[in-house]
Amino acid sequence: MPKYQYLDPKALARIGKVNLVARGVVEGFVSGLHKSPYHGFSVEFAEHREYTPGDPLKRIDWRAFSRTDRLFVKLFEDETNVRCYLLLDRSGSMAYRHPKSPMSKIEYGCYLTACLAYLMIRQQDSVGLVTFARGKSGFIAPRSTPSHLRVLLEELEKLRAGGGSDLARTFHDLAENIGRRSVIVILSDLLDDQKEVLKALHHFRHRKHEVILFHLLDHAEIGFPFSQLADFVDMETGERIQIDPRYVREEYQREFEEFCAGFRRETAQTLVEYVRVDTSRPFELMLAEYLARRQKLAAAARSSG
Amino acid sequence: MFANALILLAAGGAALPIILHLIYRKRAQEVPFSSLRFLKTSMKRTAHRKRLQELLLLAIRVGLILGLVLALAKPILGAARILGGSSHSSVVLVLDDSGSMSCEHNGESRFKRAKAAADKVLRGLVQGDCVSLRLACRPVSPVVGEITADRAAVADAFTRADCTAARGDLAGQVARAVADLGGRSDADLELFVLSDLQRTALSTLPARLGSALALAEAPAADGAAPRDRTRNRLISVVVVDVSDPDFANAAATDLAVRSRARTAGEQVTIQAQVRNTSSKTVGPRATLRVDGQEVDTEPLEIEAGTTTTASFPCQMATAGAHWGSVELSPDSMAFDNRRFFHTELFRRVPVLVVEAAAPGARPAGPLPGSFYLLAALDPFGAGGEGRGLIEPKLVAPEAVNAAMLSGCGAVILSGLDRIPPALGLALREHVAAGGGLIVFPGANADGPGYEAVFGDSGDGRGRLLPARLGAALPAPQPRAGEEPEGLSVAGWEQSHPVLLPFKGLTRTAAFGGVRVFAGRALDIPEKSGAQELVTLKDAVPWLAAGSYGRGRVYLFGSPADAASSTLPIQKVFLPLLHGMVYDLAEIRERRSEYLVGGTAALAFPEAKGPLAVRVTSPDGKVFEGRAEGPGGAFSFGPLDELGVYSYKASPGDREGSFVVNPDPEESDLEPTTRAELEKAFAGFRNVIFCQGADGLERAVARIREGRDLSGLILGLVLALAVFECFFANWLMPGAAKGDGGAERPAAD
Repeated sequence: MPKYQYLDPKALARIGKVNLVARGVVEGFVSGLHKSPYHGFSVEFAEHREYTPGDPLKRIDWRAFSRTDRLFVKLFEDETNVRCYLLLDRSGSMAYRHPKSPMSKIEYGCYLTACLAYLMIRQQDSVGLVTFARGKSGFIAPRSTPSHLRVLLEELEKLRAGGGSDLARTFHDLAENIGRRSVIVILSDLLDDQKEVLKALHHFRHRKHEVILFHLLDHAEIGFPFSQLADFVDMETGERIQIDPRYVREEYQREFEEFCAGFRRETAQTLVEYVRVDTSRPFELMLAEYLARRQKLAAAARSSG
Repeated sequence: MFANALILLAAGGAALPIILHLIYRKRAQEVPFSSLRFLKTSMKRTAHRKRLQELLLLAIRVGLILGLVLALAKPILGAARILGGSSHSSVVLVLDDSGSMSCEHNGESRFKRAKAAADKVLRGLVQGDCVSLRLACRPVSPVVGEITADRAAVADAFTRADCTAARGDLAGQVARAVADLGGRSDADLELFVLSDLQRTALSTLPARLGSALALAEAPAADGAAPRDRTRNRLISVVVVDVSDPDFANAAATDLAVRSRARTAGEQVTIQAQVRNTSSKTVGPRATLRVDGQEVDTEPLEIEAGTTTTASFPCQMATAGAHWGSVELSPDSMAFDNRRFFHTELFRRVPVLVVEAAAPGARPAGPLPGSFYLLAALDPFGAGGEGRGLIEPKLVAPEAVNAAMLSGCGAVILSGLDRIPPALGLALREHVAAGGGLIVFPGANADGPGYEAVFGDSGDGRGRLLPARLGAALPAPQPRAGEEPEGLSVAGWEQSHPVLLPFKGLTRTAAFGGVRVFAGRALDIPEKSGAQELVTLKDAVPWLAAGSYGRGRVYLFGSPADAASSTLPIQKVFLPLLHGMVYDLAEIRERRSEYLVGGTAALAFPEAKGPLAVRVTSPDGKVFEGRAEGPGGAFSFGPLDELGVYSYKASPGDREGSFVVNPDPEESDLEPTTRAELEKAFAGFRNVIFCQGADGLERAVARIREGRDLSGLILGLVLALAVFECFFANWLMPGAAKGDGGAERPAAD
């Protein structure tokens, strides 16, 4: 594989063999690592069910019959493949990077996208890519072939941030157009109308999609560490205001935390997985931790179910 | 005023923070940021606080620069010499030389302290300064009253100034000093009051100052413009208080000689009032001296603020003038420890009361006039407790002869209807030779007979009686069963020596009880020189006085008995009768006691022409003058020395003496409070108080050179700088937290 900017072997090595396991049950074409909601003949025993007329006789558990003198059929779970859409925000605000930050949000998003795509394809899941900004959208349909990863990486290499944000509309459109249940992974700074964005996320959930929301934030956006009078310029609209940061820092931090808390609170209610990402933290570590946590949750869910 | 005014040009530097602020605003770095939505909201909420804090910080920084510039410019507050553009001062020193200034504290008198302070002021004057010295007790020479550039003359007067025992006029001198200074054109007008601030001396200060200022502002008689009121308000007053509450003082405040009659050999009591004016109990010893000889001594114990009386019984054997003193043992203040008295003792005055009734034979019916006359002339004689100054003797008209009349102070004819010619002749000669006669005519007096004996005899000496006995008095007859109403006294000649004791009294108080029922209206001939002394209702003359030869005669219109008038039983009778006898016997009360600092008024009424008067002071100094005024009046003063002054007038070798005592009020050392003085000097440019000479130089420097405010301003600047640090580093947003991770904004 040629060397791509956003697919760093060292980073992938740090992530290890932790696979992206869909927390929900995904309907797929190919048996894979993801659970299918359809119980069938498989090696993965699920449960016993009392025999009812019409059930195939081959599924009767005769051993159980010998012990209990009652007829039970064995149910098995199929592991399915997953269709995943990676939605990467490419609006102007995503280009922001504080001098002390290692990379801009868009770069960070690209790295994350590349890693996720690689991992998904490696486990034979289909991965598609949607890049979006106001009036600038890119769409690559999901596939699971290794050559598709190259397509995705090339698309990421070409990607440049710019333009305004119109998250809600983009999400609504996608929710309408994605037919099968999929995993929707959103990588964005969410700097748009919060209510509309939340509505759009709800739309995904309404269409039975699993939604993972990576909220990409520069460390300076969280802490606002500026100390001298400056003309702040909006990277999306070009608007500028002169501000002495010392006066507004506390108020800004309060507002911003309230903004983030709003997403955390609302997404929890709609079962959207919200992950706040500080771009000052190495992405591979962040992703490794996230996947480990996710795997633990999946294991816990499996043992309880 | 600024000592380094050029530095004020640097005040433009105050604009530096503003300029920096504007430049900094223009040069604000451009920082791309992901979104301004949160910044806008935050800015809206903090804009008001930010503006306030920024403005305050800006004001502090501007103030810091201005304060620093101001401090370096060395501002001077109230420098009189610079204010008016003149570098000279007009100074008036009002030095209190009154008796209270002799009070000593630790061996140093208040006056000495005041002089030390005044000396400091005088030494501080420079060429061109004008000065005047006013002493509270010596308003004229040798004190320099006018403000003069001749500082040597003032220094000389100052050197010679000494404390007196007088009370003085400190308030008046201060007021005059203010008036003098108000007329000066110098910018720096200074008034120094060097005193113990005795309340009694300064109680009139507000009124005196008010009068002085009002007078200065009033239009001048010659049409000149009134003085500018504000001139007086440019005067700086320095009050140098030389008092000290730690002292002990007993003062002899009064001394009186008490006796029934001032006759030689009579027992007298000399009473001294001794007051403790200090705040602690004192125990002085009072010693009486009479005519230079110590007579008696008495220990006293007087609590603070109280007065006690020391009484000394005494007897002076000889007639004539006597003087003496009561002296207290030494204390903090010497001048009021001794008080003098002066008294004159007389020989008894023989008075003949001539009445028709035989002596010793008391007639039946109403008491005769002689009864009342004798009782009034010698009121102490009847009780046997002693004798008065008058020695009356009742005689029949026939018994009177020339030998009896010689040496007689006065003759009183009582109730004679007819005058024997021999008696008349003898009386005429007696009066012509300087004797005195008082006539109470009989109820049925023969007017023509009186006129024949006492009228104009044609010998050129005129009438003996000052008036003729006229018609019977028109006294209204009482109704049946009612008391007779009688005629009341309508008026009297208040300036006559005999009636002087009743001067100023109301008619009721003096003669209110006198009713005349019977008698004769007096007919005073014109151009006789006689004087009508008492007038009854309806303008009826009732008492007249006249002179005959060298003697004098008083004539009543009624007898001296109670049936004719109520005069003999009224209290006015005794002083009236005694006054007439003393006048006729030429026993005159002369004023013989004065207060120090006052003027002695001597009179020689018997003088026929100018007299050369020679006065010898207690310390032996001799002063000579001439008595040329009417009645031989001679004034001598001011009386500086305490003690006995003697005088002698010639020709005639008339001698006498008087004593000079301290003013008892001068012993009251209660000081005036600062608040009262501040109120009195309200509106003056400065009122500075100094305790003694301490702090005087600083006070003078403050007036002349003003107060250097640079230190104060530097202190304020320092405090402002500390506040600025605190404000900028702790109170300003984000400052207290140290901006630990604050990075400079940078674009992506």
